[in-house]
Amino acid sequence: MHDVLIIGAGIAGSACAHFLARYDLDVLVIDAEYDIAVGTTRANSGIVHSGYDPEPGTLKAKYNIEGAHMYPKLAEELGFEFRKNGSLIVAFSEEERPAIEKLLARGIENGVEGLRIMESEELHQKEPNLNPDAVAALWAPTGGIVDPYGACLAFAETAARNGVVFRFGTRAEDVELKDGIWNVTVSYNGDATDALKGTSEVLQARIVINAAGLDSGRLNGCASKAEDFKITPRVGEYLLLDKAHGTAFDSTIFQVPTKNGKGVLVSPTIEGNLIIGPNAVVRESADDTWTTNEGLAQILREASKTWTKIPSWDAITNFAGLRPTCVESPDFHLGEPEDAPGFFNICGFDSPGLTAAPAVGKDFAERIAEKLDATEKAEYIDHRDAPRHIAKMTDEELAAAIAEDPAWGAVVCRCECVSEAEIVEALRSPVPAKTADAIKWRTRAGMGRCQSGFCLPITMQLIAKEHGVDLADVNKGRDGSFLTFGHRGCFDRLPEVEMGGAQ
Amino acid sequence: MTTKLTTNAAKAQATKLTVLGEINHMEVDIAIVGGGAAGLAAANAAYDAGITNVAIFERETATGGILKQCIHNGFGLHRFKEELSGPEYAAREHEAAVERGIQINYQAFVLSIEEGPLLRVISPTLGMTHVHAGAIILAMGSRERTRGMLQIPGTRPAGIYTAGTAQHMINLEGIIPGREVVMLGSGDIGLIVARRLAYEGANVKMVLNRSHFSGGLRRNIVQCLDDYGIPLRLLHTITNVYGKNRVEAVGVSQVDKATKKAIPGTEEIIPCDTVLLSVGLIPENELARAAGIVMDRGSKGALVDQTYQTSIPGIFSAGNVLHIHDLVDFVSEEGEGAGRAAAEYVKNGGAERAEVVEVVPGSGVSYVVPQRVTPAAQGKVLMRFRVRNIYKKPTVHVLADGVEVKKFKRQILIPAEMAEIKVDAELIAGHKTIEVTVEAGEPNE
Repeated sequence: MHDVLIIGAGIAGSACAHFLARYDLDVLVIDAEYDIAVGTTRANSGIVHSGYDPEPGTLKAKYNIEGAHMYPKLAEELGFEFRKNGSLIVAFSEEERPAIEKLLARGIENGVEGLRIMESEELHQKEPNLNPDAVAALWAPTGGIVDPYGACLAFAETAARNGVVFRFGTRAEDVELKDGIWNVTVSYNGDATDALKGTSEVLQARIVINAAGLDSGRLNGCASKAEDFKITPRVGEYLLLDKAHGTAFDSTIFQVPTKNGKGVLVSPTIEGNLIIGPNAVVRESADDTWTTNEGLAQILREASKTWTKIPSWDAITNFAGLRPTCVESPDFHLGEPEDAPGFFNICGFDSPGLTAAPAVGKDFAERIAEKLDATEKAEYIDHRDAPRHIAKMTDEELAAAIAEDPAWGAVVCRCECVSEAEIVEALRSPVPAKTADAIKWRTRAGMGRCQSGFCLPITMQLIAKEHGVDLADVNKGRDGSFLTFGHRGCFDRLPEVEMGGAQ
Repeated sequence: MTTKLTTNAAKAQATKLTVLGEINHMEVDIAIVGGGAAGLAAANAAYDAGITNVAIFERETATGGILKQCIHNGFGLHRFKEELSGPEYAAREHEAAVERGIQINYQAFVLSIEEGPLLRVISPTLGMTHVHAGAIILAMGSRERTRGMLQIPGTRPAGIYTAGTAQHMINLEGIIPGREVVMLGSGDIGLIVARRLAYEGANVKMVLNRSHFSGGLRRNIVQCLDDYGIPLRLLHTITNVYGKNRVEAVGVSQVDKATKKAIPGTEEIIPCDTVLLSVGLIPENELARAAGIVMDRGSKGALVDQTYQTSIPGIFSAGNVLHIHDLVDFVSEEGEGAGRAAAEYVKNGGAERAEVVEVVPGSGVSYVVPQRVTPAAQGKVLMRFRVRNIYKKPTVHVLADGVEVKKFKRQILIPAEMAEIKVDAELIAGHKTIEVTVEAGEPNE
């Protein structure tokens, strides 16, 4: 029996795992996918919000402020990328000025530090590419940008180094409280290396954390009758522009929020691209991460209010992220329902969920430790070195790294300048990368201009070699996302050829 | 290849001495970035012109570039007067370089070009090395345009590849990327890959082409599509991708010839498991751009003079990195030109760069290489260009400061096939601007 079973290895589940790892507890994290952060965590704006937006007194307000305070130190300790670039919420006409003044008042009430209205002259000096029509903006200096996948990986790896076990390809089908113990029925749908693939099992735990994102509403329904809410997938579509435009704006530029969210933003990303989005469309299914022509046109149209000359032709990719929204009561749903003691929900964890995650994780870990009467571990690793990337090394560092292991000098991804050594480190991580997508998210190999055209076959070889699978069995990402149909000769059908025009 | 050559291996060995853990320094007369068709030809030509301390920096584990995976034949008709496969063609060029003792550095990745000129290079064997070069030839080739650049909406499942990636998988890894395939774009690589997949028993359901003419060579349309019963649908494009984990279908829409946009309401769902993209190549010029070399928006390559010298003296550019070619034979030819010019530069320094004549594309022409002609030009100046549309029985006009100085008649010019003219240097000299235009002799249907 496990002390704590965490369902979901996104930012919420991984943050909980990280803070629980300090205690002498048996903690297991399961996820239906083949990697961490496959759902909402991966595909969002990557913003640490300062906290001016949530209604005062809500859980969103409380954990947003706490989380925003935690990020700079966590990024330092756990080696992930974060930059406090500040946010601007721009009024494009005098009619919009009351809206930013309202946000200023709300932010002050929430306890956000450093908020002020920035007037036109200073604003345009700070952001020369901003639409000249902008009259003023709310300046939120504590806003930041973060690599959400990198933050999640830092939490997960640190937890794993401290004894937390991660099991992927493991879907929670049902949860039930029996004699004070939580019984979690799981099915195994792992990749070719998973000996248990296709089987199911009942796992037992004293505490369950429901961090299942889009699936969290269903699991709450299994565990509790008292707490009743529905989680609706709401999609946000994004465009990512080439790094040539990554410095077009220094801060994150918001427009005045609407009822659907914070509106379309234009922001540098931590990797140096420029991100534009999202819109907010309700989708039927939790798998609908498709983008639409209309949606992409819409975000370009709306974003052109911020930047009138958006170089849309320099988009390198577009994507959609799903946010687990509780439409009827839009606050976070956190903690134990009254009829489900020991079942800790993290539901409706849409924006500012990324910002709030460490605060919720820390809070839950402390509450659970107290509940289980757990003590802190005698030996605990509290530091993680940031993953090394040759793209960020000096010539001296490169010389030293290649001397240490020649694989640092073997460039696999030419667009993002990623070496074989970086990929091998990801494959040998305490939470190992097993798919082409996992490699892409951890090392950036395949994320650049050619979008993996050149490096994919090499990455596939490295995955196959390290994990002992056949080259033809390497997956892009989740179960069923096979990259090939097999080796040459796998199709029986031979072509009927009509030779005629060749001469 | 009958030229008898002494090996240069000892010198290559001497310059290759590497101290791991420290920044190494290497001095070469000519450094070549890329060991594909252009780079190899450049190295050999530079050697034959008397500069023997030549080093190639190749980022992959073998030379040949994309030729390695082009196992079909049709290469070398111009250069070797026989039909070779890609690997055979590459092997001939490689062997010629080995005979000359050209230093070839593998897995050698050029991080940047700095002033000097100097290349910052890393490799498992060179460690971190600063290469101080008398001259540099850029021969990095090109990459394929991607889904992201086309902004095709829909899901993001496995099974969407560029044609070149699919070709790599089949021909170099022996794995099959798709069974029911829809291809967008009919560039040459795409057509070859469509046939290759058909050989393996896959069903290439259709090849779509956004414009009303194919981007591939005519012989490839016939030999790769017609012979295999693969339909080519002109004025069609993919407007959606469906499928959660693996591609399950695409939405195919008609394209309005006038606006070049998909016509709403015409989307047809075509079930398939694979989408291949063959929608064009882009010169891979990140290094050149970062070094501050002036680029041509039309060719998407460096702006060069008739010796393939870029805006930075001593840095030359040739092959697909300069502009996209259809035939490797011309890539090699261009590489040789750059190799000879770089050798000349090393021996005698840069030619006079004042009073250059600007060459610009006029009506119907998308770009012309070279974009500059220096007063040093002699004899005939070779100009290569592409047209924007199909022209039947066209006339190519060469205007010097607005006055026609030469015209050429052609049977047909199409965007998919590079065109060339040779203009007497005397006709160019002394002018400010040379403009190349094309005029149709017969109307298009």
